[in-house]
Amino acid sequence: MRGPTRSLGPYAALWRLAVAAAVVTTVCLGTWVGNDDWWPFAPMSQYAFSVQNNGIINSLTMDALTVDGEVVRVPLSKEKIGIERAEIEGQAPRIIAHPELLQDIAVLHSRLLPHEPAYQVIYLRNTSTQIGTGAATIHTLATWQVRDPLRPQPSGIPGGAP
Amino acid sequence: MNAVERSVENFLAPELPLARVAWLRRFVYAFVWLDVLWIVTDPIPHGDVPPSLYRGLEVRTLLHLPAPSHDYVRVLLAVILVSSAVAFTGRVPRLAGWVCAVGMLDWVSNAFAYSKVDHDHFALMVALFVLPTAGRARLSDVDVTSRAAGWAIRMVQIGAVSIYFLSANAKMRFGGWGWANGATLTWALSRRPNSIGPWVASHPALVHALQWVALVAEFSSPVVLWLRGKALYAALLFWAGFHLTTYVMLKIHFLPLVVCLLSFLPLERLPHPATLRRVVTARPRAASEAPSSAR
Repeated sequence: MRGPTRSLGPYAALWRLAVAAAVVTTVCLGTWVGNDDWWPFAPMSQYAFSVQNNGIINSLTMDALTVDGEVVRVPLSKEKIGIERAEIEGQAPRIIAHPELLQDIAVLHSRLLPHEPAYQVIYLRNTSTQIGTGAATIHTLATWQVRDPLRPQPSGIPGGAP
Repeated sequence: MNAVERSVENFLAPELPLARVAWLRRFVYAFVWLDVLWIVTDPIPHGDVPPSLYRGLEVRTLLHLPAPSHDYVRVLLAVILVSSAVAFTGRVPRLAGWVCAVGMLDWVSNAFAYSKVDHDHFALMVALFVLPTAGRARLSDVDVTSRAAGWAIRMVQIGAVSIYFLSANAKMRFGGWGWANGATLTWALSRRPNSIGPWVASHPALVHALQWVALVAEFSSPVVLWLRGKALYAALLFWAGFHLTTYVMLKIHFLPLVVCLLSFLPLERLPHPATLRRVVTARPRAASEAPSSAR
């Protein structure tokens, strides 16, 4: 048994058709020719890159020399320092070109983890691991001497569109 | 209306019960709470990240959304929680739904504005923007069909299928035709080692087989839009298993997409006081219609 049916008038049908066509076209173009800046129509690119079977796996880490003289791993996660490792990986070329961006990691650390010893030097490092042999090499990509480690102020570098 | 127009209308805006929209709203708006409080929680700490590390997104520039700040992200969270709670109840569905949709656009784009963009939210964003268009819909509207409801449901389904299909396209664009024979899954497993992950990663043939399964399934996913009955349920079961596997191996769940897969199910058949009453009142009549010999 079917009850009443509510049909669409010509305009209601037309705008729905137009929206459907626009959404499908844009999301397809996003993946075919677009980039991350197109979000929510950005390429569906997670895990889309290729890794050679005997290739190298790169993994970024950040270490810091604290004011207590200890070298610690910077906890790159939203729960701890408020920014994820993947976000730092995405900005690695910027950080290598402008190491003073690491000043802002010290600022973030002082804001979100104030009870921990302050950072005085911050290192951005890459670990390359050979698939198969497991042999790993570590390179330091950027180093920053934090200005005023106990009360670090932001670098002031403008953010915004890439 | 000619035959072509009618078949386009039947595909894009089929006559579906308003009750399915009402149920889907329940799931989607409840999921919004889960999403902002448990899954996409980055926007709150992002409020404390110095603006130098904020990269923005085109959509944020277009809508003049500011770089997140400490107070801004907290007010935004409150707006999303209140609007989704109201939309969950089915009251003022357009107003509450669109406030929630714009709020979530701000929230999720904030999460992705620091150089890490995920693609699991596309179907959910589509759902949040199209669900209000169906207007008032009650769980008891099981017998009231509407093409506006059908269009909203169809758009959510298309959004979900787009994620799968375009994931395969992106693998060909960025990874090349050799993607399935590569070691991308090995890479992913090595970053997040847990449970059976390391064992899988140590068997290259298994890694390749899993990558081929994912690629073929993603490429053929649009078929789901035409499946019915058992074939449709089998396909949905496959995708549920797929997401469960990636969760077990990689701790990646794609829940914002999974909740949108519910749009493929006849949610209007879920038990609800109104539908139960209908079954009870229908039973005696059905019995009396049968010939006495069959009783």
